[in-house]
Amino acid sequence: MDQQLPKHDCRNFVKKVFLVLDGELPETERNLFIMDIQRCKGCLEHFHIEKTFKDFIAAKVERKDCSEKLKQTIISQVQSNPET
Amino acid sequence: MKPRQLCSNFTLVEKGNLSKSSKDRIFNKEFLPQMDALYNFAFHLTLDEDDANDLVQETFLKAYRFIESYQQGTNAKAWLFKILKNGFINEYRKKTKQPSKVDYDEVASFHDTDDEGHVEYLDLRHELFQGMLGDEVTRALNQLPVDFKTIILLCDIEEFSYEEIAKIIDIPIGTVRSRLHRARNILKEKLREYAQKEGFKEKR
Repeated sequence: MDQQLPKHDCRNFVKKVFLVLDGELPETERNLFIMDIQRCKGCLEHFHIEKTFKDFIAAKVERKDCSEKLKQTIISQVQSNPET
Repeated sequence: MKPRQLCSNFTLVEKGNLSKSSKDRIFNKEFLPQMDALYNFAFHLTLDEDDANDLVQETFLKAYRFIESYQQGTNAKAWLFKILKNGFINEYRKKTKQPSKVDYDEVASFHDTDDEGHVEYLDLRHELFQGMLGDEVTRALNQLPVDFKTIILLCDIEEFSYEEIAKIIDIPIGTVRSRLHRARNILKEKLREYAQKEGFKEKR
């Protein structure tokens, strides 16, 4: 598998790690990136740290839902809008 | 990659071609399901329930009024987030007289300095933050300058693509990337400070 990959360069990891984690790269490129970082302990470790951090933020930041009262207020205001 | 069609018209125009029943149908089917996400965004921006209520209400009423600017079946969520973000800038930032706290000159572009290696990373070990509670993380996020907080909310919480974020906040995609990188590092630094204060051990 390594034969298909260019020589590992940590700068490439730095350029692409967030693109991979944020879902911004096509699947093929993403897969190549994942294969590539298996060859560098430092890159692999940083990848897992960044992934854990991103997942952690998504999971831990408190979500606030809209109250039922506000939903009903908005719906009734729209329904009573006479505009055609 | 998240393949979602962007609503092509982010400029709000009143037209008058759609019947009320058509408008109501679009509103109920495409806009109402986004209400919780909109409220969550509004709350984190304003940090006040009443202000968040007002902002969400204004956003939905404006969306209804300008519903013909929206291309049915496209990206209602991104369209609504843009209206809300503009409403926030126009009203709440003026009201609270909050200056933009982000010094963009200081935001060195991650992508312009790609000759650096791992040293560029602000490391935050798993063990350092895994014991933290949601309240602490939410507080750290809410303390970020509003532009940094916004970009983390849009990317990491709402999972918008960079292209969608660029449209919502009117910045180039390259700026989305660099601002996101900077925002995450500031958030990590805040969490690290908190963790150290609370006695979590950092592995180095």
